Amino acid sequence: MKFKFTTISIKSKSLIFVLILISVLFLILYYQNKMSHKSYLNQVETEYTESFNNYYASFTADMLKYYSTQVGYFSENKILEHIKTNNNQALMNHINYVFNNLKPTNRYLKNISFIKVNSKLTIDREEIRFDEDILKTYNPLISNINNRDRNLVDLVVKDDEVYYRLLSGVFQNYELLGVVEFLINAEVLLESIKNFDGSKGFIFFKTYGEIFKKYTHLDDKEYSKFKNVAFKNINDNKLFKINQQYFVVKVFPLLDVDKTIIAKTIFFLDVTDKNISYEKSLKKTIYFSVFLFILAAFIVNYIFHYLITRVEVSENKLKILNINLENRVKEETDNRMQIEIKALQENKEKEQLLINQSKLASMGEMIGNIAHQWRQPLMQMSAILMYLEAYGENKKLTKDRLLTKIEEGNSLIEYMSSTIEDFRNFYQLDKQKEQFFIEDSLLNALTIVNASLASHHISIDIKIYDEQMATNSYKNEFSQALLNVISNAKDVLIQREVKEPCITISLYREEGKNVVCICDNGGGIKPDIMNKIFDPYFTTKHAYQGTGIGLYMTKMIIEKNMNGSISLNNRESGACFKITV
Amino acid sequence: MNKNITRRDFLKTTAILGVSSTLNAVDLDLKSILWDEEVDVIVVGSGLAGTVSSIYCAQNGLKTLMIEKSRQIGGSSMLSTLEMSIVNSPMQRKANIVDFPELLAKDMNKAGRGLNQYEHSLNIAKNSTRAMEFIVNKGANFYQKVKWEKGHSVARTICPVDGGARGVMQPLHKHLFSLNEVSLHVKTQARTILKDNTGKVIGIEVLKYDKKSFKTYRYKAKAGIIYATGGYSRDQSFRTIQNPLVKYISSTTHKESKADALKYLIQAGAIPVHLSLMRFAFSIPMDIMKYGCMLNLKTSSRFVDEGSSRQELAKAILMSMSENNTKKYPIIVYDTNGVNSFADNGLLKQYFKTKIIKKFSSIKEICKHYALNENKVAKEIITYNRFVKSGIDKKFNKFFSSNIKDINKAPYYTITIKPKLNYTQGGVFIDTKARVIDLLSNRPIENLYAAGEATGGIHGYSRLISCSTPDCLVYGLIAAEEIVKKFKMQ
Repeated sequence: MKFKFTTISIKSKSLIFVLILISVLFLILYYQNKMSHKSYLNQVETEYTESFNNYYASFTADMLKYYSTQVGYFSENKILEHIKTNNNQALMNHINYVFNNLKPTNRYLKNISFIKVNSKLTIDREEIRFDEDILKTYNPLISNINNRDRNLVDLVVKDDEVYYRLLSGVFQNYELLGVVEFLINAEVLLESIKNFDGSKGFIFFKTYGEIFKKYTHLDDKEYSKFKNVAFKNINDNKLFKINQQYFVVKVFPLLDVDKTIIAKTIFFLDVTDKNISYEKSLKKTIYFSVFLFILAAFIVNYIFHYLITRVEVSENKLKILNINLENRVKEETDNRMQIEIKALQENKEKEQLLINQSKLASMGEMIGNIAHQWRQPLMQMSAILMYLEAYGENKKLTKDRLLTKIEEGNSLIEYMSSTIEDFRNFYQLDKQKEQFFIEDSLLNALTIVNASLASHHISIDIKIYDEQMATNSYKNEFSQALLNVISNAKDVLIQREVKEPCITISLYREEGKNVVCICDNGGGIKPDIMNKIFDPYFTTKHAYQGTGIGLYMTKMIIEKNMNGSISLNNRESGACFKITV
Repeated sequence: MNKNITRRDFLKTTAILGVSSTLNAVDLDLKSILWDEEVDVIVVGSGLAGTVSSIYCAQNGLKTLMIEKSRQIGGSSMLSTLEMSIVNSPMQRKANIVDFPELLAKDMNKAGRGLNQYEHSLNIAKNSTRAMEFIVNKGANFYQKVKWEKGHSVARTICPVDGGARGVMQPLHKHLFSLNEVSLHVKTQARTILKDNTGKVIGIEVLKYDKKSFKTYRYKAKAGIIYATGGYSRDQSFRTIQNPLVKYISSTTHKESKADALKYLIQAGAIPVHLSLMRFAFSIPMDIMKYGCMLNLKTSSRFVDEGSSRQELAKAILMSMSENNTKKYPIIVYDTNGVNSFADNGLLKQYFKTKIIKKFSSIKEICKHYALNENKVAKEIITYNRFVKSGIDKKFNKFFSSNIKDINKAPYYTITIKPKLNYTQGGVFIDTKARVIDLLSNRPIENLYAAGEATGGIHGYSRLISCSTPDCLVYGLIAAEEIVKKFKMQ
């Protein structure tokens, strides 16, 4: 089983669990319902007992009260005279008269007797008896009747019937003349209770023949219905079902004056309505439970089905995923690799493009620088030519003067030619590393930019703290890098129109490395763009002035080709680039 | 028996044939008569009167033969409570009730509506105590009480312990058969009364039954014959001749209560009296009749004052049935109030048990059940209710006491009312010494006596309750006393 249970699907397990929970809930509901009904029945029974006892007390009291007042019929002087003179026929007449007066309103009045204690006579409406035995049965009772307690109620079996016997003394001048006995059929109790609360019942008692005699206000059918139930379980207070009616059965003893049980009454309190409503509600709960149970089963089934299929689907997916994951990863990494390779290629191409661009820019710059370099010699050449023309017109041109001027012109052309050579060398990319001095490299760069700086009245302050600073690297590239930084400073100074523009270049060694520090007094770089300053195509200048590649190229040269570093920070006067190689 | 037919047998048979066909009883040739049995007194009937007579005769030394028609002795007396009105009984004296014979005679006269012979009533009343004491001495046992019955001015009825059969008849029979002089012939029917030439009764012819055959015998009675043969309530043909109304009704008496003895008495010259007067009884108490409305089942209509006395009511019922030529007895319709008015509430249950009373949810159902005309019944009940409300019954002058209510509360109940024949007042006329009087001479027929219900004219229109027993006692005793007195004088 256990093995089987474990093999049940999650769905069925959870379904069973939920359904068991629901059924337990309903069982509790059912039990609660039942208990409350049981307690109701108990309550009914106890209340019934109480109310019966109360009712019975008041019933006997009322009866006694009523009949004790009827004794007034015998207190008339005439009747007292008859009693005294033993005029029994007259007394009999009177008893008949009283009986006929009372009977129409007292259906259960059986007889009225007058008991003469002294003459041992009992007179009722039909007979005068003088049986000593009958008097014996009365004597102890009559002895209880005195001037103070004039009335007495007793229960008696007589002629196979049960009667209430009400004894009431007739007195004259405190002398007991006789006792009036009213015999009332005990059925009056049944009738009275039936009128009081509608409960049906009967009185039963044993007669000498040990036969159960009964009184009942039930008709024969009803009696036969109740009889079996009642006599079988005479001491039980149970709920009985008789012909689809429910009754609470209650047995009460009826006592005589000596507190011995003369008869018992059985009452059937009809609780059909309550019980039917209880059964209905029970049925309802059961129906409702079953309905809910089925509904819950359906709902839970479907919801669980839905949820669980989803879980299962994703589980399967995961499994499949797990299986394919490695392939995927391989594929993905391959893809990535390819992409990266592509990107690298693209980057290289970009770089190449940049380099080309930078070369173009350098070209432009070179041409600009050449232009600056060449402007003066060209002017001097023009002036020479203008001098020669003027002296020619004035015919003052001597041979000496001409030779001097040609000499001057030749030196100029030589200078310009060397300038071109310089530039060509400068921009020629180094094929291989060589040992060189930082100072030389700086001077080469300054040579290129010198004329431009002078034209803009930018002074250069070179401070060399350490002599003979040498490194093994690409000399021209380093010079270009320096040039770029100086050009950038120059451009800033020009752009911001700084008074007394100045670029300070410091050379020193730091921790065994060579440091070139290029500072300007242009006010510094805004902090928000400080990070972007080395990005390609980033420029603060107008489009015609810069391409945004210069500083990027510088960084590339310093960091990649020369394994150095370049950093930037603001000082009081302006920005400061620190290049470490 | 037929093989050895004796001369006596032969003679007997021929004599009977002769008697019944051609001759009067008195004209028999006395010398030719051979008696089968010779006794002093023949008492015909073993009821109370016969038993008392037999005891008295036998204890006074007379050889007494009691003959009884049926198998058992006792007759209708065995069925009766035998309550008896006795003037100045010990019980009455003990109860300090003042009574005197004239008072009882007056009460009887009242019930008899003057049709009764007053001297008989007075005679019964005067001798009642003596008669009672006689049977008490012979073992009759009475309750220590005195009962006040309806129609009596004072309480004077005494009751045998455990009913008539046990309290009176059995002790008396026991005493009777302890006497040596007594013999008893049962299954023996008295027939022709045999007289001698002077008209004196000398014997009787009897018919003895057997299982297969019957035979006639002649018994000689030296001192006299006492007829204590009871009434004829069960003799349908005879009673119908006397009173056609009672043709179909049943009776409470012994099944052998036939008129044969009466016929032979008349044949012997006795004067028949009041043969058409009869006393009726109902199986339900009279006092519950008045709470309902009585309907004839054929006409669907009310026909009588339901509260009338039992004689009147029975007569009215029988009249109504006879007029409308129906054998169906009427019903009384009660509503719930009516039933609740019954004085004895145990009655209703008893009636339900014995199915005397029927329950219906509506008047309509009653009509359906009894095949009554619905409209007529509804009209009758509406009229009846109107009478009840106004307090005056314009049709039958019923007295509406306060506890008689109109009929309108369902469920309804019905009881079929069947009058039963209880007593026949008619019989042969006797004088105060119980001697049967001859029709022609108006003088007593010598040696022929009658007592009890066999006599007529003593009670008149209706017999007062508990007065039949003293009649039997007194005249049974007086007849015996007369015979004994005469016998001893001879």
